[in-house]
Amino acid sequence: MPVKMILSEDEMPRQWYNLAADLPTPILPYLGPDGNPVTPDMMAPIFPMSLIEQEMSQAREIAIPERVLEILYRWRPSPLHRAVALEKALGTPAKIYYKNESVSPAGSHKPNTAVAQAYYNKEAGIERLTTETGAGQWGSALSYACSQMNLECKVFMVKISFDQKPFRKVMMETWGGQCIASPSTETQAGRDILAQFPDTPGSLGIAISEAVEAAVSDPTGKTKYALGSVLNHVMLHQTIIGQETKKQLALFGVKNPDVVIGCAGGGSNFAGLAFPFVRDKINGADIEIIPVEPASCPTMTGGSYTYDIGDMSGMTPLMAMHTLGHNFVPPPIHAGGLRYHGMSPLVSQAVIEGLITPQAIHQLECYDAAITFARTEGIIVAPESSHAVASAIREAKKAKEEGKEKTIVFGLSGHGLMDLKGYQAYMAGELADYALPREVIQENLTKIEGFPKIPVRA
Amino acid sequence: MDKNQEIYCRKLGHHVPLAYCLAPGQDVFCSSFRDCWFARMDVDGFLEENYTLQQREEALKPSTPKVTGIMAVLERLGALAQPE
Repeated sequence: MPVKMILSEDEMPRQWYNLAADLPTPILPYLGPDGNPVTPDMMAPIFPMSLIEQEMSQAREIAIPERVLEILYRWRPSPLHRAVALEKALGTPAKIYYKNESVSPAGSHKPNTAVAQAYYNKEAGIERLTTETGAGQWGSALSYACSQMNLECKVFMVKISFDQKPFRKVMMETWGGQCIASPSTETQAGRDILAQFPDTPGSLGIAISEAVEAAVSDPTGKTKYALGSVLNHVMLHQTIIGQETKKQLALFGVKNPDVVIGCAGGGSNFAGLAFPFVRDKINGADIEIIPVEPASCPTMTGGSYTYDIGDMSGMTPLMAMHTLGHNFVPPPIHAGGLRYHGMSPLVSQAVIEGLITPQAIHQLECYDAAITFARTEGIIVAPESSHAVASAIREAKKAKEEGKEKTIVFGLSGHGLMDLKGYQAYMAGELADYALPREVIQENLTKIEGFPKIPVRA
Repeated sequence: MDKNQEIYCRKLGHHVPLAYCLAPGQDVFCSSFRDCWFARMDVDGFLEENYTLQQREEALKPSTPKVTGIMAVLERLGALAQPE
């Protein structure tokens, strides 16, 4: 029995898939600071027109350029594994498959879009890309991609992350990237922050400001900015994952899986695996599709999906996203509603349409699952990926209880070899989930009942 | 309260100490503070004890979506094109 399926390079998909073309209801537009929809020319200072067009496109499929394929061939198609050792350890009749994106040079799915973005910028005559990064996964991927396209790369890394993960800087520099702790003295935004808070550990917001300023302040106009999550074109580029998976499942003799699971941070890994299956679901396939996110709350209450129609400071309307609402002291959250403000609009819309069912799992269960996975299948997964592993194990145990031979597919978005601190803390018993009594948590949760929700549009 | 106790930060993608959540960048505390620490401490009680109403309002207002935030940065830099 084969335990993994490898496609040849000839069998790799030649188009990306755009879910925007098939969603029953179009996604709501991005809004600018004035509350009006963002237009393509407003994005032109930071993105090349080719990517802006993809961002706004309603085309169902977009051809992958040959030069992008040439780079992706270095590690793609990525393997789809049958997790036989995990199945045996769980004693489940379920068949578990995982799409292994950890095989990329950067160790995760991120290069799938980094390479594409670097290509389109190069084609547009750009010589340099800037970006921000936290833990460094995206900064590493972009540095790699820029090295392949002969572009310079400048990464503003949040200072606390820069200090905690020195080897990420080394990775970026090995690929020729420049990694700068943010806030820095390289930009006015950074200098202003440092003048006020010289010892600040930084934040993503500051790093974004610096990266954007570094791009638009280049007098030659040869610098643009790149993002690793949230945006539609990022989701688009990642759909190569799910399209390959479908072909590989067919080789395993699987027509349609029962469950597709992906971890959801900004949404790109989940979207990459799941969107081709969401298309099938829209066309009538019976598939449960689950984005999994971290949670510190034991229930699955959702957030509300709404435009924030004005916050306490009187700011303008923002983008429709899963959010908790805008009471000035919002009650304790949240959990499985994908209510993180940084979620992709396409993923958020798919939740609203009922096409995907978000789930939140707390960290102890995730690390427990990751350890089980490492000791059976061998791969030490990234902390984010552990959520997908935990969800897959839940489904497998459910299948065992039900006596069903379910087919479960999950995305292994990256390895955890640069993120072992969490494993160390878990194995030392230093991680905790809940310190409050359940009845206190439940009391707090009742406070969010009756929160306003936007009805699903007809 | 042990400000060295750590939690996984889904914004940054790694564990951070409570001290960071209470002083991230130039914010008074992270907008996700309640979301993350909700089950491990009396977040509302802590915030009411240590921050003014104005500070809490400012920090807990709904976060700006990424694209909108980027457009706001462009506007501050004078690089935001007016829609045609």
